[in-house]
Amino acid sequence: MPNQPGERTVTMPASASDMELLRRFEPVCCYTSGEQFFPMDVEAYVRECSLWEHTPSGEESVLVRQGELDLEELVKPRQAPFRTVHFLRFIENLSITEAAQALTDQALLRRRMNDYFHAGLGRLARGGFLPRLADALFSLSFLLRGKVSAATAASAELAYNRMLGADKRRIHYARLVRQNGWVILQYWLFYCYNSWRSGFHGVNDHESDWETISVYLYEKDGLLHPEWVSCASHDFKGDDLRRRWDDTGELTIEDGHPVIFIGAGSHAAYFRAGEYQAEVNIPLPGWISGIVRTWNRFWTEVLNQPPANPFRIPFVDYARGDGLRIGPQDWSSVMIDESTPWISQYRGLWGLYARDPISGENAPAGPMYNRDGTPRSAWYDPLGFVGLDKVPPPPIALKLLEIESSQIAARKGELEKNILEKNEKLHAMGVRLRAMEESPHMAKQYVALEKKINALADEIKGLRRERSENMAIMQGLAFQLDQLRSGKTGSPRSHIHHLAVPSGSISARFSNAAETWAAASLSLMLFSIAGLIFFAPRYLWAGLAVISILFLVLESILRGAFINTVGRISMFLALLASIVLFFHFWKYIIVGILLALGMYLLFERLRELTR
Amino acid sequence: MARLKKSPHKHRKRPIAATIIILLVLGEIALRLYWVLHYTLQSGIWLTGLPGVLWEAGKPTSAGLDLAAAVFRLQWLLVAIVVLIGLLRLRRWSWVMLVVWVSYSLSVGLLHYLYRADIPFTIADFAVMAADAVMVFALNQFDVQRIYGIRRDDAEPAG
Repeated sequence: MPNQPGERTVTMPASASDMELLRRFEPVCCYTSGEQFFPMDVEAYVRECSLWEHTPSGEESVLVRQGELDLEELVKPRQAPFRTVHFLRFIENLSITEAAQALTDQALLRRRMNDYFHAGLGRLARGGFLPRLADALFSLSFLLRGKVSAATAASAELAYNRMLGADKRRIHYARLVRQNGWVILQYWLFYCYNSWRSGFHGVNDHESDWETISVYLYEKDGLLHPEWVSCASHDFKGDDLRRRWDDTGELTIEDGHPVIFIGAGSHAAYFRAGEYQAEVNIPLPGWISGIVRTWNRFWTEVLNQPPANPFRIPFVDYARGDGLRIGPQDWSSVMIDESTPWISQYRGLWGLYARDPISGENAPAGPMYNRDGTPRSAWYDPLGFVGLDKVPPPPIALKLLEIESSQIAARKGELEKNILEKNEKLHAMGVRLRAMEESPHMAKQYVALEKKINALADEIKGLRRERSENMAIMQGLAFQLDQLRSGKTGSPRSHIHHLAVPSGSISARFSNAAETWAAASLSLMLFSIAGLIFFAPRYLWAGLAVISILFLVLESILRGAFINTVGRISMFLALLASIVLFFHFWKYIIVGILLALGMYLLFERLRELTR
Repeated sequence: MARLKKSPHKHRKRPIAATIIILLVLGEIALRLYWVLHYTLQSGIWLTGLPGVLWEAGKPTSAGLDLAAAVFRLQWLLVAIVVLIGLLRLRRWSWVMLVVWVSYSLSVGLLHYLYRADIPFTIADFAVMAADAVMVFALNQFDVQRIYGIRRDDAEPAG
């Protein structure tokens, strides 16, 4: 449960060592029951891997074999042509027998550990029929895209448990950075496998996973105070990634340690326990996106229908926090920075390069780099990454506010003096202009003076606008100053544009039936279409339409969205009927519209005349 | 004297689109009533009873088909009257019933138009299709949906 502000006050002397600071604020990570992988040591992982090279021509070759690789070997410089990908391989290619063995052993391991994951009302039942159709296409896309196999996931789990037997430490790689008055504590967590798809019905699986949690401190009176906590999660960026330390509703603090809830399999981090609906947009070619955008605009703005996007697939990230908790007493901390060789000198991927063109199944690179070897912004710009680059630490903010207020106040005086002077000048010119009126021989001078008057009037208008804007800004600054001086810090959520909110209980009318229907409906529809093709090919298109409508209506009843669905179907049918009617009666329709417009205009004009 | 409680619905003003819907439903009632009366007068069902054999050799006869069509239209006539009463009393269920009805009617009309070349699509069928389409567009107007309690958000367009 979120705690009260008083319990959250925690400071450290500014003279504390980097390690003391990092240990004081390290996070409490809460996992979901059924999670298979936890933060571990990179050295043990690398020893289990082989190092590979993928050339631009598509050839793959092993550079260092499994058993011969360690961190020292990993960072050795290796020349390669452009677009070459270096990657680690945690699980080697499996034969059919090995794959079957791995899957069996995984099942036995789960049984022994008795730690199962229950999805509850699954993601398929949360989305509608059309997103489910898109989801099926997404699943089929794995036939064309690169994919990490289920046996690889099973082998990874077995290998991880083997490594855990030798080294039980839960490691975070900690880094301290000082930037723009902030002291940033970064905690990098390394997982040997991301099993979101294979273990938790998510978007992707990949070997290795790097996630980060950061705490931002500022110095005041020789003490360091925590102000922000940030962590990376799906669909969010910039300001939305951070929560203020005093935000009791959004951030739980336990004895000065932020509590973070980790997504099952995905290892994305959230501030509140729950199930988060993530959405993946299906990448469409530009011209199709254009058509979809135009159609959506017509559908919502012209036809007044609620927006709908069937090309967005819902996925659930389960961050329930009902599993293992790793807190201060459990962590082993290893400090890292740019001088750590494996951080800065290895730019390759930390796991299998699955040749997935949209990268979901490819392993990530290390903390310092993106998959393409370019620097990772979370590393080189930890403030900008969470939108803090524009935010000064509170003590500096007070000084800046005071300076800004006095500057604007000074400018206000200057503006008022300027406006007064220029106004006097304008009056004098106005009087002169008036004197020139009705004197034909002064026409040329009149026009020239009028031009000058207009320019001066515009200038005064601009100054008045600036004065008015400055007054509004001054009011805002004065309010901010009052707040800061009296120790009030304003709303802790004013910076958030999109708040990650865990979904509540799912309101499917008949949840079991909805779940079963969600799992079986697409296959049933395919069977119906097959039957239609076989038994009544003559009525194929009409049959398809009728089947689609029936499935949509049944779905809507189960999801409690009958009215919306029937409304949409009726609108679609009305559009088709309109096309048919226009095709047959276009001449009458156009004549009718013209007559109606004519009558309306006539009526309006006559009413104007008779008023 | 005790005051009668006023229904909250009475305070709601009926938008023009709702009036158009009511007029169209009235039109459809009139059309269906005409069809039913025309059938009963033509077949003389009140005077002579059922018009001959209705079912023969495992399928309906032409008289049987005519009777079935009349019963079908009579049934829709009754539904339309119930819907009309609901619409006049601004009831939510009447909006739902009407939208289901026009969806069904449009589906049948479109299937007839696209697939039954053997049965001519008459001007009356086109008229029904046009009335249904207009009704759908009117039923989906924001103020109509609000007055019938379909949309609960009360966001007003900026003034």
